[in-house]
Amino acid sequence: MALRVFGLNIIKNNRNILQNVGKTNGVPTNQGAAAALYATQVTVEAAPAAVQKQKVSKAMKSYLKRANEHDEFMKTQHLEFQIGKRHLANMMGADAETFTQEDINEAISYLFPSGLYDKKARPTMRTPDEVFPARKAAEFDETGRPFHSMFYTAKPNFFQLLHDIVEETNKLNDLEERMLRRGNKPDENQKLETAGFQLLPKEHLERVLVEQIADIEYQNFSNSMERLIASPYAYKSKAFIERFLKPLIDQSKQLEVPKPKIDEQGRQYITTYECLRKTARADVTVRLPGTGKITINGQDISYFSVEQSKEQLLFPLHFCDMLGKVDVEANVEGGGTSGQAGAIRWGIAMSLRSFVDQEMIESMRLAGLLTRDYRRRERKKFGQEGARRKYTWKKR
Amino acid sequence: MLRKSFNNLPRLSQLCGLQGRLQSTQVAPVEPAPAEPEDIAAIEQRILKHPDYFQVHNLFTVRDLFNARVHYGHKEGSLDDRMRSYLYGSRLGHLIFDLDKTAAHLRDALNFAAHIAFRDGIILFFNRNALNAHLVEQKAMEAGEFSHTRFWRGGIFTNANVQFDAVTRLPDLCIFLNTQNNVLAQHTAVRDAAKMAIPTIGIVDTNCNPNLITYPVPGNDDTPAAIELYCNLFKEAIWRGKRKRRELLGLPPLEEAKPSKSAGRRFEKN
Amino acid sequence: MAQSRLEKIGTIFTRVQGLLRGSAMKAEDKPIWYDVYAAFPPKLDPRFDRPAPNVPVRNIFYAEDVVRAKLHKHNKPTETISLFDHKRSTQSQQFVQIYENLRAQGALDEQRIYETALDLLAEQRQQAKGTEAVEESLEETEAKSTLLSDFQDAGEQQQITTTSTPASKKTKKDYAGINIDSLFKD
Repeated sequence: MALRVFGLNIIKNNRNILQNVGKTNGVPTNQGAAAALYATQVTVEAAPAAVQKQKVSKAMKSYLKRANEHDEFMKTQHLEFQIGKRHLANMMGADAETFTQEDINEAISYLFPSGLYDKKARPTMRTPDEVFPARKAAEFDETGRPFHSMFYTAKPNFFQLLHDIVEETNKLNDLEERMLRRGNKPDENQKLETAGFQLLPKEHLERVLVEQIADIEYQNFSNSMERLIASPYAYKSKAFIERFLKPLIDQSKQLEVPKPKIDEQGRQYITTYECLRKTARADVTVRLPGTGKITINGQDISYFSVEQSKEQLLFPLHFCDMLGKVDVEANVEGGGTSGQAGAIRWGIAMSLRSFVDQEMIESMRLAGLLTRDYRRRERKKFGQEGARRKYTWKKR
Repeated sequence: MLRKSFNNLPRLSQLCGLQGRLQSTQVAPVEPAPAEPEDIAAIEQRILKHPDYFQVHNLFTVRDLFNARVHYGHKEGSLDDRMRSYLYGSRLGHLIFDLDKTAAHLRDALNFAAHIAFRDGIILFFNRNALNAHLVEQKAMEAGEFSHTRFWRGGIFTNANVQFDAVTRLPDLCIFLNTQNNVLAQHTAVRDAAKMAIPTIGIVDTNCNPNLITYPVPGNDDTPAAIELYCNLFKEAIWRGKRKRRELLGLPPLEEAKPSKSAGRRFEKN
Repeated sequence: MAQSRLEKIGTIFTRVQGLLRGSAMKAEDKPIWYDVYAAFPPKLDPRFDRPAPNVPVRNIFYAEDVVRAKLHKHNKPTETISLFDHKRSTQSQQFVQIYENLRAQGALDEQRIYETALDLLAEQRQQAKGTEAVEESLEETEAKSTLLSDFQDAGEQQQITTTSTPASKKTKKDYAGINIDSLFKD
């Protein structure tokens, strides 16, 4: 309640301010004259020698019309959304006032279950602000004069960016020239490191600029950025350059080898959780030093009856020449025999990284031991016996 | 490295004192201000009677043009016959412009640009030469006007309402710092401007067609020194128009973007 | 908006004028440039079909071109010239000046003036080299002296050939009635 009153006050105050402004604007000459009456020496601002008839350009008129139409449209959309929300809340037996967007999503997925693959294709209900993209604000003033100097290129933001890049490059060239003349050299310690970065990809850049750009234009952008980055003094425009760099996906993190921990018996051990293969899931603990004991769900290697699965399991140990040197404990669930064996294999290989040298890790990677196998069961097709196999074909 | 150092050499216009001339000169004396503020439209009509209201004739001298290498044309083989009357002659196969004629045409063009700026017109600078594109964009910004130095998408004038998704006000004057797309083809905007009844000012070199340009200015359209000279002249003419308008309307003078000479020095402070 | 997009007919002014006269375009929609154009029309109508003037392009030649051409024909210029250096005059400029001075004295015939001017130029260069050597660092003068000496060598050789071979006498005769155009052709 208090808040509302406060808001009203603000509005009132604003109106007063507005009125005052209107007054001062309305009679500028009178005030000047009044001041002249009462003061002997006043620097009266020269009255304008001309006045301009306010003309609103056709462009602005049509923009205002469209803006009004859009506002009306959004208003009705908002109203409809509120009504829909209330209905939904009623159906779900919840309070309409406290019904949040999350509740709406839940209700929709409950009331309209959908098996469509693409999530975007499933029924949703969101506020109209999200559904209808924000419209560009007017790019020109009342007289129709655009705000941006490169408005007529139709891609002002992009070409402004190119202009800025050239500006920076010229600055760096000037600097380089002056430094050369003085015999100074660029600071090697401050050198711009761009190894782990890449330029913003086209889609990303388009989002930043709010403009669609053609492939060749993106090419121009990347060429000029590369030239800027290649400058020996590029570190001076670091802030500018970094706006358009994106860190590469950090692969080193995934390749980072965890340090082994020490258990009660003073042995080193490492546990890898979430070892996945097909629908199997396992966690694997490898202990060093060991005697080559393998425990799977409390049983030994005879947990797997199939020869191939056992081989799968032992392969990483054999590959690293660690057979009989480490103990392996694994808990595995879900999936079938080969899936479980594959999951454990991957877990052992990942854990073993902590106990072998860098060279061996690299050869393990090349052997494909550290690569997650994402293959899943392929579905059966109708008119066929299985995923690929066809029914036996008989001529007649 | 060599090319970089060329950019740093003092511009010719600075050497010959053009800078000082640009700043020192004033607009023609105003007639006694009437007691009642009158409509700006009436003033717009009245100042047309003055042959050179914005005093653009003193913006430059023929020597300035010469120093900025405006007189150099292309070789004889590429001569467009329609440019013959603007030539002084041919020196060993290289065409040379008659700078007296160039100066007369340039003064007409500057006067026109100043009047359009006074009437709050939109002025669009064109240039398709990549060497000078940045300079032209910079100067257009400093003049508070517009520039288009990139690939011309067809229909920006002729199909504007569709291209910009809205009713759009087209420029009131196009200034072409070069009228060619490349050595072979004319800029499409020259034709489009003529179609849309937009007057044009164009620097026409010996290989250009001046016919569709409303106010052609015969001169070298390739050399950065010449382009810089034209840009500075047009900028000053436009500012004279704008300043006068704001003064008459009693508005505070606009912040004028000074050429960023100190921009390069900013780094040293860091 | 009423408009005619036929840029090949008339000028932008006549087209707008026609629209205004026929009141297809309202007076308040008149483009802002219209009055300015009417007050300051361009020197020539910007018509698409304006015919090209039939004016011959004259050649630009100077009186000293003859002797300059002669100099360049017989002496391969070896100096490096900075186009941004407006203070230093080039060898051919110096030569022309010496030549003009000599001719103003009016004692000698053309060929003699030419030869004396070459000698004087070489002398002048030698002197300039001497003064420069004092002022400037060693390396630079070395570079310059090689350039200079090349030029002098060329000049000396030239003189030897002109005096010795009979064929050169023939060329000497040509000098008198030299055709500038033919000189510049090759």
